Amino acid sequence: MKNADEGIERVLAALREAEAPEGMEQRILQSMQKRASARRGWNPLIMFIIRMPSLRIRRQSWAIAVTAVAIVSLAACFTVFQGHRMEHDFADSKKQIAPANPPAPKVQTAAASALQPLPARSVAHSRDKTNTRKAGAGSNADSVALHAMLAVSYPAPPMPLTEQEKLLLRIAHRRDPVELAMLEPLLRSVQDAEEKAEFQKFFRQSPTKQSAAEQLVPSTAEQAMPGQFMTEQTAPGQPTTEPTTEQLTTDQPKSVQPTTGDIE
Amino acid sequence: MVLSSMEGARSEIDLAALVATYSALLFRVAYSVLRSRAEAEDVVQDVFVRVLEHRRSLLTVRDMRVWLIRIAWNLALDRRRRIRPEQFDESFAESLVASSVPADEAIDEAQRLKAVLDELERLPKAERHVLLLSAVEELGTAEMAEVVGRSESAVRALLFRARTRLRERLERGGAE
Repeated sequence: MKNADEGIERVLAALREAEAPEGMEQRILQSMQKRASARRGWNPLIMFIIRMPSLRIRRQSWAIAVTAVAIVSLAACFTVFQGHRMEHDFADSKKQIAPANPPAPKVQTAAASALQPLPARSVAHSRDKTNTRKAGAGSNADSVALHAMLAVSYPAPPMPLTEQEKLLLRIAHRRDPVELAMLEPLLRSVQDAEEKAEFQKFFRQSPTKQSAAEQLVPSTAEQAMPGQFMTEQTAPGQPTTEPTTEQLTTDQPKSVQPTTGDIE
Repeated sequence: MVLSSMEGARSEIDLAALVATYSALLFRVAYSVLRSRAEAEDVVQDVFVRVLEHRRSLLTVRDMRVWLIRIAWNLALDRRRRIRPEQFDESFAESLVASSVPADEAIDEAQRLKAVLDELERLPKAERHVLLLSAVEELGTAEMAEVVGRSESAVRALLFRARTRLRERLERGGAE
């Protein structure tokens, strides 16, 4: 019991009385200095803060704020200056190009005008400008682009028709006099009436013709099927759906036979 | 005016003064866990590097002393996972034995202290932590409770149980 307590107390006392190594504080301060310089790169400022307790962090923040304001104001001035410069360049190049391109009624495309060299006067003028402002080739390229943009553009001339297009045009516009006449309503009604009269005349003649022919020469089909023939005979007003061989022979000149559908 | 002057006084962070004030205490906290001087010094150095990194938020720290002890404690526990503190225990036990003692007695004494350290390592984690923190003389129960994140009564109970368990195990080991 006594030995155990004694051992515990001895170990705890040894841990309690452990002394820090000599020069530990200096080593810690040096390592902090190294780390701060490696991370941020403003070693003197960090060491100044560490070694000068009277310097407050508030002062450092004030310095940072003033520096930031100065940087922002410089950036704003630079941006405004650049904007003015670009506007001036644009106006100058417009002045150069406007007299060089009179609005002549000449057919040219924008691409062709872009490829044309600039007039000597404007090029010389722009060269002077570029020399004075040291803009170099950038200004020249800008003026060429502006020239292309402001050039007068006309629609392209009509292309000649191809053979296929010519054929199509001939078919579509042959100006047939019959077709043109058909467009007249009076002529058309007269023709319709003629066709109708011809039709009626044909169907008035055809039953008598047919009955006369059938009486003279009965067909083989009628002989084979007398019942069918009789049924056809009972309805003389109606035309036959299929003409017989006799009918075909007698109506040889008429190429078109009217059908039951046509009667209606 | 008074408030601004107080804020200005608080914002004065003298890192050199912090190192001078707390480095010895932090060294003992780390040494109780690691039992190696070199490792404990590295831990103290890491603590002040953290202070330098978080110097803008130092004004919000309520108790600088406990805050620094907690950083040192956590860093020492992290380092303890990477190294084996048992490898330093033998030399630590030998350093505790007086040089005036004869050699055979010194060996026996060193083995006995080594057994105490071994049993200390076998204690439950919470009990071991409280016992090691109690070894740091400057720390009271309230500060220990803040470091381990428990109540003061829990810390006292843990400390009592740790001592009792360690004693019983040492006696059992001595009887065997």
